[in-house]
Amino acid sequence: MNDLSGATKVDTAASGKPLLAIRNLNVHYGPVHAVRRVSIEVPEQSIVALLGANGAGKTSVLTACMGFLPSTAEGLTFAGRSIAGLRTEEIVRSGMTLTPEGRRVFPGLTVAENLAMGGGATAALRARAKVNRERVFDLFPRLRERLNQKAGSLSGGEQQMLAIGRSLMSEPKLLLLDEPSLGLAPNIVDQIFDLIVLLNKTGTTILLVEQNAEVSLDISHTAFVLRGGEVAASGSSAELRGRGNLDGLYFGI
Amino acid sequence: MEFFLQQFINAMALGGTYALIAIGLAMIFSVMNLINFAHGELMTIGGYVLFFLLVMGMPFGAALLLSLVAAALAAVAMELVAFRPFRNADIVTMLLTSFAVSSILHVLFQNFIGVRPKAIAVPPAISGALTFGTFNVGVVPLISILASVVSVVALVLFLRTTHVGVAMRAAAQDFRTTQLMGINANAVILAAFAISGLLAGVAGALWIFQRGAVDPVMGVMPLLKAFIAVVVGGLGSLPGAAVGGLLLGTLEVFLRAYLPEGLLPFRDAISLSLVIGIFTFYPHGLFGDADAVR
Repeated sequence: MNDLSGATKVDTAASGKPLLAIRNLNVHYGPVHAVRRVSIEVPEQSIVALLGANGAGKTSVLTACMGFLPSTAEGLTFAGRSIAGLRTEEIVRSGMTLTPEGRRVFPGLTVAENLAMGGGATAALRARAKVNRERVFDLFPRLRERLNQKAGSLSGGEQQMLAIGRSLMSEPKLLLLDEPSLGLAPNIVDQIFDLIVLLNKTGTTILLVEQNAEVSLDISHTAFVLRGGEVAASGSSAELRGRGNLDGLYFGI
Repeated sequence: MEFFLQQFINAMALGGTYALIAIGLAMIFSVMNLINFAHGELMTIGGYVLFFLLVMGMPFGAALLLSLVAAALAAVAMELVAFRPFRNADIVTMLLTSFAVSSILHVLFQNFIGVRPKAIAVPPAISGALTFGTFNVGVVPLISILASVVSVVALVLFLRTTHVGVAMRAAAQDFRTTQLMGINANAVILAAFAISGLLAGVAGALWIFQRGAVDPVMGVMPLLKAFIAVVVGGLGSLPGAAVGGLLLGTLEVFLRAYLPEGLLPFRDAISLSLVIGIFTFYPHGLFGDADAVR
């Protein structure tokens, strides 16, 4: 990665209209009301962090947006269009992609095949797969070296790079990242966060779910803190960071 | 030695046929956790289509080709009519659905076509034998081996080089993540059914070459054997299904050839005991992994 030391955000961003607007989203797992009236806006060109303790409902929000989890919402619009009730594949085609928690690369497929799956939603995407793959290799030169290796044989960091690269193959306008730093060595985590900033600079809007609140607030423009399935705090990342006591926000103490 | 060679060819022929059925079963199981007990009826459907087309006077080759297409289409129809409504249902629900489909088809065959076997005139070129010096070998076993090898090679190429093929492998490893990629899950599943139907059609044709007739429950026994082969190989593993099929066919043929007269009635019991023996060492099957069943 070229000179990207010290993650800094783009200041011109975070001014656009909302690319993703979630209004009063609810998710139930049987009798459990896991996400309660959550409203989140992700402005175009921004990085939005979604923070909170384990089980606060962060992943549920992302998967519900992807049409992967039954949910109800007063409004769920992406790029000005309602995506409520759409199937996952339709949502991916419209330009929103999730890099799931735990990476979920296809272990028995090669790196090349994993990338092909990421860019396999439509014939038009498949036609541009070669170009998109080069862009991914520019970001992650390591993947080029590992092209014909089984994804299951990659290191954790490489798998995370593959998972993000695979998502980029679908040319997302909005990338949902679920815990990209989970289980990675600290220096790899830095690389991943640098990369998120770089992606954002090149025009990808990002909704980032993270446990690592410090760094997330560093690189994001706005942030939302979930607690018990509800939005406990929100605001500009700088402001939330200024409040200091994040544990208090996480756990309500 | 000659006898052994002949038996070996028979073993590969029967094993190859089992393998084709088993691969189809394993394929469906790996992408959607369905053990399709109506899979054997696809062989029967192909057989009846072959029978009727021949009765109508169609040349054998054309009728055979269309019967394979019919088996593939029948598999697709099964998915659309019977299995799609239960897509995310419990594994037992889907299992019972497949039993129901199988029973319904048996009854339809019996009532509308007839309980008695329908004879299919296999051309002499297929039903004959080749002689090499003193060595006689039937054409049908050779065709069976050839057809199995060609089918498996074609399948491997399809799974490795085509988009749908790679998507099927991805779906077999992690169905939810495949959907997350924006890949049309229904299309992948339909393709899996079409291919499994095609393989069943090929296996059905080979079965009919051997027996010269088709009857309503023709698919039951081979399906049962193929199911055992799938479990031996490790549920959901395609190489496992192929190896399991070959193993089971080999056991069956060699036990029939070499068991003393008095033990012949216990052939199946002995071969199944050996299979159980495999499970004591490989409880998840030869190629299975512990968490293959989600």
